[in-house]
Amino acid sequence: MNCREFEIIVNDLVRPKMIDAGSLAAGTAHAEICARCASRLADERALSAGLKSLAAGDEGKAAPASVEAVLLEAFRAGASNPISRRLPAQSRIWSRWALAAAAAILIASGIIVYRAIQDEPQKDNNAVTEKTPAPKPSVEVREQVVKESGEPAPRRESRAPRARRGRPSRVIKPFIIDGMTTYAKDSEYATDFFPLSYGGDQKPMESGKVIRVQMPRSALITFGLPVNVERADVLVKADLLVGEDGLTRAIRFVR
Amino acid sequence: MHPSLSDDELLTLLRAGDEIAFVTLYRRRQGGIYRFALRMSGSEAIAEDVTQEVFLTLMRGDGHYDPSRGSFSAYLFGVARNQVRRRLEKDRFLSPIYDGDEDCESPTPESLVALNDPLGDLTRKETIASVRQAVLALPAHYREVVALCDLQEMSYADASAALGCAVGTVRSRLHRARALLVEKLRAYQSAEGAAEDRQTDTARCFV
Repeated sequence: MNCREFEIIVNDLVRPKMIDAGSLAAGTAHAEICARCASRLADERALSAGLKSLAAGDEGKAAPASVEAVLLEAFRAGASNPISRRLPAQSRIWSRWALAAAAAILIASGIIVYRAIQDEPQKDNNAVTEKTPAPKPSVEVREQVVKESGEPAPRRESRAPRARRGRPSRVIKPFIIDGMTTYAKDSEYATDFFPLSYGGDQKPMESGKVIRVQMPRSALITFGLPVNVERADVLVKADLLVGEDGLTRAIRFVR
Repeated sequence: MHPSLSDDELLTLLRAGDEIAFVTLYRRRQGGIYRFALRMSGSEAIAEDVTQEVFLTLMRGDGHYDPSRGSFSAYLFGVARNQVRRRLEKDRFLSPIYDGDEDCESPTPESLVALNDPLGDLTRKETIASVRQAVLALPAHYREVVALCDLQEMSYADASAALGCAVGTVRSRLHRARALLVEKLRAYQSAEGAAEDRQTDTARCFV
């Protein structure tokens, strides 16, 4: 046996029930001729002794009598109403299928309603195109902001098509922080846009797209935002403001 | 009481509404579940809640115990494990314990510090406390294998059924967990050594 093989079985050497006699003998023999593995085995034995002492010290610990009293009360309450205590397996299976079917129906009806809503304004719009000018798309308003302020302003692609179809655009609440104009859904909180610089001459942006992405929370550190280190790997939503030249000009984080 | 009946037989009676079967099963298994939850959480309150919730789950029949997948004991520990994890996740921001980060510089309470060689004399009362804290300081997925395999003396097969993972995973996690425990106990020893040095320096300053 070599040191590598010894390392694989070293945990089992301290609990003889978990290892066959041959491996036990081979491991013990190796520890006698290898000082490093002997030390490793000694550590394992000491650790096992400590864990056994810990287990023995806790041996008498148990839930207090009040827990049993509460459970007994619950059991008696359930026994008087056996149906509520336990549903038969068959019923539980059927209830799962019923839930799944209800969910499927909800999703399907949602899709149908969504499509109906999308198609309807298009028809209306075609009918009145000649008489009334189409309402100004909300995206253009935002582009004006870009031109006036000279700063990149975000544009939500998902909202632009609604405006083109002639439906009244939703009220968008702009908020201005440090001279930058941003838009956010009512249900979302967004940071300010952080401009991204690539060095050298950079053309001022006239228009662009906002693309929603997800990235590790640790990216917030780059922009000086506080990050919970334990959750650094958790993804966070971000909006990238991409110019016509394909360069990302600014970024904001959304919650 | 039905002391001679197996867990599975008691469960059948329990489902038929036999109160004595429930009490027998509860008294037979509650201690292990309570201690497991206590070792996982370090909190008696959580251990009590988890024990209660495990048996309520059993009573309601929500857990779908399948004898072909493992012993009844392993099933109960599996329910307890899920309850503990859920509870720790919920309380994470309220009661920080030494969790998750293996390299974090957590404060070293006096109870964690062994006086001399923690691996050479692990039976002392203080050192038992340090082993307990070292176990609590392990990440949850390592802590649970130590709690089941080393402290509950559960077989690898039962532990794998309780944790819902392969036996090989249990073995490798246990191997890593024990190595971490040795490291942590050595770190406590080093911290104690450094503290003793600082005390000596301070004493010299006042001389």
